[in-house]
Amino acid sequence: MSSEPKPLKSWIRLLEAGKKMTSHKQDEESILYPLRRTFRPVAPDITKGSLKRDFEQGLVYYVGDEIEDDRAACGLDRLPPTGRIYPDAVVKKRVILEEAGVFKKTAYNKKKGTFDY
Amino acid sequence: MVTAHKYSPPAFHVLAPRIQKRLGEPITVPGTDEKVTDLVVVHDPNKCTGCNQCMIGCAYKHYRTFDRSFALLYVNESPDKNGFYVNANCQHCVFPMCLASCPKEAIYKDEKGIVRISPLLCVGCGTCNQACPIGIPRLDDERKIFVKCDFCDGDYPMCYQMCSTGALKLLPRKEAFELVKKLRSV
Amino acid sequence: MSVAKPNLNSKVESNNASNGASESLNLSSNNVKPTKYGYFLGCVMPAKMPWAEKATMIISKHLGLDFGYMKEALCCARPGVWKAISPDWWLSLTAQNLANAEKQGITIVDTCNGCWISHYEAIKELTEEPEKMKMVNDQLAKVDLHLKGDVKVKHYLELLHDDVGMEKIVSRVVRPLTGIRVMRHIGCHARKHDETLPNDFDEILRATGVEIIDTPYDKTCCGLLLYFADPNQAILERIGKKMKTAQALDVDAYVIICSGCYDQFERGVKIYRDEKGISFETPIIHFSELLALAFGYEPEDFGMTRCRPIAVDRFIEKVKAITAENAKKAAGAKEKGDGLP
Ligand code: SF4
Ligand code: SF4
Ligand code: SF4
Repeated sequence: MSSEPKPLKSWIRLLEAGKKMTSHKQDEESILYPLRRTFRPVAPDITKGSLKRDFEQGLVYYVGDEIEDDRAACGLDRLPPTGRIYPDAVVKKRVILEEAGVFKKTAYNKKKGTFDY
Repeated sequence: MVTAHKYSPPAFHVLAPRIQKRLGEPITVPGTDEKVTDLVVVHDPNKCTGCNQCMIGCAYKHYRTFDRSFALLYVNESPDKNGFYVNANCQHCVFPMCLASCPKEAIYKDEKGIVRISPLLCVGCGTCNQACPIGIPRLDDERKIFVKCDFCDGDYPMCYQMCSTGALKLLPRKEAFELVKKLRSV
Repeated sequence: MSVAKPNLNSKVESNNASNGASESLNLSSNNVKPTKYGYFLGCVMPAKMPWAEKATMIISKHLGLDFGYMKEALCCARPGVWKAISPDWWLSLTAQNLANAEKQGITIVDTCNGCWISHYEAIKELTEEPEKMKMVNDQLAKVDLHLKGDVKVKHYLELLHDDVGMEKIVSRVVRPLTGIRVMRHIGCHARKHDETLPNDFDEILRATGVEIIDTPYDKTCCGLLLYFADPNQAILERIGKKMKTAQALDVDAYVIICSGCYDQFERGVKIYRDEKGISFETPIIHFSELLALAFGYEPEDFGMTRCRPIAVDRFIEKVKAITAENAKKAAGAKEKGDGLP
């Protein structure tokens, strides 16, 4: 093993994005209380981005304008028959998430679209 | 001559479980009355793809993080064969070396056969890591004690559930032994 | 109810073309009877690999399958993440897709290994454990769905190999891709039960005439979930080693089947290009594209060059050269054949 490889920028960006959508600031807390054991929420910071998209769109990737053009050029419908054109299915998914207690346990704030923890 | 301190062998109270919390019903081996004691997780390196889902599952279950360095089992690329992944899983040995070696008697075997480290007694000396043939116990950096696989408290082991290729198998000890013998000879 | 919902609606309304698409889809769902096989798209396929989606539709039609889309598909509930967080939640989320498929009366067909294992294992677990089934159905009842548990799940390879049959596939190959050297990556979950799927994969690939190169890193995982845990390991030790091997062996293409793997390959290649300054040249190709090419379709038929992180031009050129050569050989053989008697 030579030197430790540098962390990847895109991964750091993903982590920062996760931290940004969290109201509780773990970093600040660990400065205030350095001896306190790290608090780890149910949804780890790194997964928050994809979880949020999953909660809001029902899918992890969003089919935006650019890819719509590409889809048309490939000879497909502009939008796939997924949750993208059936918003009802996403609403149903949110009901199930609520029922199963996912929103509560992951401290997901439905109004703001952020995580409390 | 040193006579001041007389050595007396430890009383065998280590077998009596000291921490008895949240122990669910033991899983029985399908078709028998045998308890979880007789189940072990074995790894088939010919199937493993090194996806590390087992480690991530274990780390999440015990520490709620996806950082695999928190896992209590280890999968790494074999140093002498490219693209071949080897693993170390606690076997909850019949005669655990870690238990025998612990100077604080912090390691015990509970009534389900799970070898545990008592977090209250452990002083973090690391003798168990040296004694265990596969170096399972590791230092928990936050608590400065040693931790090891607790067989998911007798639940369905998370590593086994998460394994993406079926390389980890949950088998009765005898069958596991046969499998390992077969894998070795090949 | 949410911030996202009105957002979603406005997107759909603002885009005339998309409105048209959704209307036509709705219409077709009312009038035409559902197909036997419903293609479950999942997250990555429609958003990142439209060429593969189109190629899959083309070859399924070509092979005479009663093949259409599964409607209202949502995330399969990515097993790597959801199962780790809570197996029960994973079951609830997967059950919605399963119940939808049951309502539509289709057999779910997955090309993504992650989707496949999610559906396959969830339905197995739910039918084996009535308690879990009850829990799931209680939740589904809130949205007027019900899961009986008799929905069938198939991997696309299974469908091709067992239902269509190798004979038919081989008989349809009109443009054997002899001379194309490929490395292949089937992905972890397809290895879960036994070696059937990997063997089917190889067999179908060989049917197209390509030469498969074996390397030590064939089995190695793409590192999709590991990226969350240890990005360096996931990119450098998994994708990096695989792509470097491909580069060193100078293969023509890296053939994959799983959309999850493709996602990670694409990410890895982009990270290497943007952060390390290393660009890989081996194109990553979905196996349905190879089949479509072998069946005589042209790359333009499924938009092969669109939205690719690694250009496929060299690969297409090679395929064209091979076609021309084959045609020449065939013509020569014909002449000889004519001359013989
Ligand atoms: S830690 Fe090592 S010695 Fe102790 S029970 Fe596990 S495998 Fe055996
Ligand atoms: S049995 Fe449980 S504690 Fe032990 S290694 Fe597997 S997941 Fe970790
Ligand atoms: S989950 Fe299974 S295949 Fe993946 S690294 Fe662990 S043992 Fe190997």
